[in-house]
Amino acid sequence: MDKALFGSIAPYVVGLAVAAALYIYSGTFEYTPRPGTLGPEVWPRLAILLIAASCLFELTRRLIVGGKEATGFMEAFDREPQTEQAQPVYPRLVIGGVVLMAFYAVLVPILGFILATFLFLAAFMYVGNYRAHGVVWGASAAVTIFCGILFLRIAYVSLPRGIEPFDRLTDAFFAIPSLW
Amino acid sequence: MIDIVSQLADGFVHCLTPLNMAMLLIGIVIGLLIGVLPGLTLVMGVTLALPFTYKMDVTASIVLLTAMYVSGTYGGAFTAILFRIPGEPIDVPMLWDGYTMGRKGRPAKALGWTLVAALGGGLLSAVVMVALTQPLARFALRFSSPEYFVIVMFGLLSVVAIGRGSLANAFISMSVGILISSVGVDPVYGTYRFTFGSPILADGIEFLVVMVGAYGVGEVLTRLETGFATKPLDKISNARTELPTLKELKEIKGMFLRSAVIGDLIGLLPGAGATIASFVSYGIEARFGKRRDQMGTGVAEGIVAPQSAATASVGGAMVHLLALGIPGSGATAVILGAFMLHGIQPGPQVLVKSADMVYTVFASLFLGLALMCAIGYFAIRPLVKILDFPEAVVSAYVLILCFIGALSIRNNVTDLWLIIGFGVLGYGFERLKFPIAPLVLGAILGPIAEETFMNTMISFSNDWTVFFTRPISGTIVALTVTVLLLPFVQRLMRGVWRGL
Repeated sequence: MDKALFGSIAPYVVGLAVAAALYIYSGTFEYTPRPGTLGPEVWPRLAILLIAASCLFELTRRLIVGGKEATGFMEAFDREPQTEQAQPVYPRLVIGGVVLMAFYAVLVPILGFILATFLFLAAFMYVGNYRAHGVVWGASAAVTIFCGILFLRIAYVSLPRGIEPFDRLTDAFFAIPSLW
Repeated sequence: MIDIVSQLADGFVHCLTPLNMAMLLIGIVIGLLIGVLPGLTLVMGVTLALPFTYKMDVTASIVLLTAMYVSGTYGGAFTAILFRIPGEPIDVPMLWDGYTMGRKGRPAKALGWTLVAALGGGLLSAVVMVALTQPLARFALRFSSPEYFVIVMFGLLSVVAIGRGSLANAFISMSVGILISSVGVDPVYGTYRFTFGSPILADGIEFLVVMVGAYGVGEVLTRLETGFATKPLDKISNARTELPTLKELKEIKGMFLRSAVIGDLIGLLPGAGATIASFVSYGIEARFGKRRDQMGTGVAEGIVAPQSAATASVGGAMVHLLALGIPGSGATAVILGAFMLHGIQPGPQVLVKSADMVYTVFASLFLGLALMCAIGYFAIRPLVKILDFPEAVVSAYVLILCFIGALSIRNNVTDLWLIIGFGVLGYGFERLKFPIAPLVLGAILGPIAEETFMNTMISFSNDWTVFFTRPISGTIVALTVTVLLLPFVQRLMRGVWRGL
């Protein structure tokens, strides 16, 4: 089997395996059956079976036609074929972005929304290959202050304050007079 | 009819309150900016605005989101005509004649045609919305659980059938959304499902997390993958709008009306939003129009047909959202989400219980169209200026809005992790060519579908045939099958369009 075909069918093989695992897991839901009423596993199992059937269909189709992408209803209305040149992709940037988001999720309860957001914004711009340092730090500060005022003082959204001593920064925003 | 007009008049009065007018103005400006920015899609923009509406009055929030939805169908035309950048998928047909007209030295005229088309299509759509919502809602009062179930499935399966790429992928996407919505406590037995021992999953997964993650974070990751490598733009110093003359308008009045009607009809079909309206309308004009031979060479018909249909589709889409509670597109799914966040379930009862709010939204559409065109006419230069912002800066800001959306749901960092997870899932779906709209709609409509399905099974002693034997549900099942068969005639249609 060539590499391209393997890459094309792999998601459906994984989908089938996940569907099978979830189908089995849904049989472990604990409940007291009521006569004449379908169990709580019936509805999710219908969705799981639809996933499995679709995976099986697409898997078979790709094995027969050799990994060729299927077209949908909308392609029939295209006036000109897709001639857009494929752009180079950098998966490491995506990994960097996801890792950065994970760091944000870890740090935001500790540093608080304000500081974590400021650092995240700057770091994300660097991960995104943007190197105008003045703009990076200036925009990060401006967006953080804007979001802080908008969400903490105007929209009253409850955002993480952070632990001491970082919470003082969030508290500083509460010193700003509210709109309401 | 007099009743509708009188309630609409009240709606105008309510709409003119400072808060509603402010939301209308903000919604239009943001919608136009979203349309202009290629990195932000219309649905993503409306989704990002949703967390802002938590503490807001429900009418003001729906006015804000609807204004964004309408103006988002117009803003992308600016960049499509001036820079050959379609801000939205809706604007792709605008490249064929709009951009070409611009290249021939008449960009101002192309923008003028766009403005007139958006205004005309939008006004017709607003009239259709006002006229059809109440009768359809009255009719829907006859519905029982089998009818509701099949109509929810009609909405879901239409989104699956009418799209790009593999039908199997769309089915998988929809089923994953339904499966996600079944996490948490089962509505009939109260038992836990798919919680894997996690207390936060016992509360279920909020559809907002799925929506913001898959659309917002996923889209940013997809663009990050290319290193935010959008090409630098040519400077346009004289961006302005030149309206068509009355004589020019008279020449195309028939096709104008035809395109707007097509847009409205397509909007009325759950699953078919502004993009489909825009493509189909252009395709019909290129096939049957008076100047079909000149389509693609920069003629007015190639601009008016897609734009008027795209804006006209909004009214149609809002009709079944309000009257039946069924969103037919990503944007209306988000608006449904806003209703649900405020404890309102759109559907036949909404016109009985919250008629003031519904008619205020109707009135806001009329006022919004006028405002949208005024802003589009006078503020085109500052609007396209936003393209000067570096993509990395805009994307970082979008991510922060997504995170705020997650943190504001339950004040729990777990939702932040979930949103990142759904962002990665959205990115994966994009990479593997799985559509995201069915996933989101599945997550939103899954609980309604399950509830109506279980109620039907309980009420009709597990008799599955009830969906086919009751007259209304049987008719909707037949319609659903027809829509599902549409992709199978694609080969035939492709032959027709390609042979133009």
